[in-house]
Amino acid sequence: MATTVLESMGKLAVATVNGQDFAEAAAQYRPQIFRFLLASLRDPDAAETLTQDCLLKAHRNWGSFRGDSSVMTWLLRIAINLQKDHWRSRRMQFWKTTNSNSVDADDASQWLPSLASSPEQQVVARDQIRLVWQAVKGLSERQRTVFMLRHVEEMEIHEIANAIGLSEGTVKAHLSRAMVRVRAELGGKR
Amino acid sequence: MSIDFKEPEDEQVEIALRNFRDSVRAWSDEEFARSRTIERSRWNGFWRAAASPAMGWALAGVLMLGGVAVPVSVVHERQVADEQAKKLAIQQERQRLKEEAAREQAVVAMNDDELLSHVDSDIAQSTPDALEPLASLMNDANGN
Repeated sequence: MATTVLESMGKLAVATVNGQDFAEAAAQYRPQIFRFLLASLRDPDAAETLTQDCLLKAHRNWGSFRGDSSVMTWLLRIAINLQKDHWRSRRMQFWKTTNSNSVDADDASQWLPSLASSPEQQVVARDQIRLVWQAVKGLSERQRTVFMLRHVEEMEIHEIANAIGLSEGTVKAHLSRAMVRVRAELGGKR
Repeated sequence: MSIDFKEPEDEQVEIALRNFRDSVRAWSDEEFARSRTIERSRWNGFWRAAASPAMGWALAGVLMLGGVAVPVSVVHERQVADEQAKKLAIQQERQRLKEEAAREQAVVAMNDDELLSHVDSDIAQSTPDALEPLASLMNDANGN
């Protein structure tokens, strides 16, 4: 049943790709790609650069995209690979760490949702966000990617598995480990 | 998108995750709307040029030429050295044979001289046997 649903999604994606101009698709999905990369790297400049690279790569391969997955999943897969390359090159360029524009977890937690209206709510929300960022910092690259796709992009498990190229069971395992860490971070403060 | 995989999270964790999601989205929206210039470093241009297919083919050609030329020159040098060593060995052998022949000739010449001197001494000192009776008769006649 799941295969049939996926196949029909793929066929729909093919029709959409064939009918949709690349510029239209890029404009539609660019904010989401940027958001995922920003959340993963905490570096706005690097996220912007990788978003451009992602769309450039997608544009080059737009004709060969077969539509086995949705356009968004395909774009995210490219973004995930670029992000991996980025981390790898950062590890190699250890002397450039001082030039990194990564935003600290404390600064990243300054962005508050509009729901937190009262000062008390804002303080609590800021503290929670800081602790989640703190936990995210301690995750492995793959756990972080799975966590972000799940809890920021709100993707389904099978979509995450498709984007990363892992089985659903492996994705669940990574997510479970990530959640243990997040809970521990949040629980230790309560 | 609906969430079909539900972890047993308590309310506090869910609230924290929701705040986190909203915070990331607010931050992303703000950053996305901000215009920024992306500087391209010279090194990026260099590596992009280095990674171009033409440069790749050129590098591969140089590597292939080097890979063939270096072993060929090494083999050639070895062959030349072997030939020179063979020539030297032949010359040394010839010289050795010449010296040996000269030594043998000297030995033979010395043996001939010794033989001749021996014969000469034999002839000069011994009396021929055929004249011995005549000599005794002459001694008897002188006695009578």
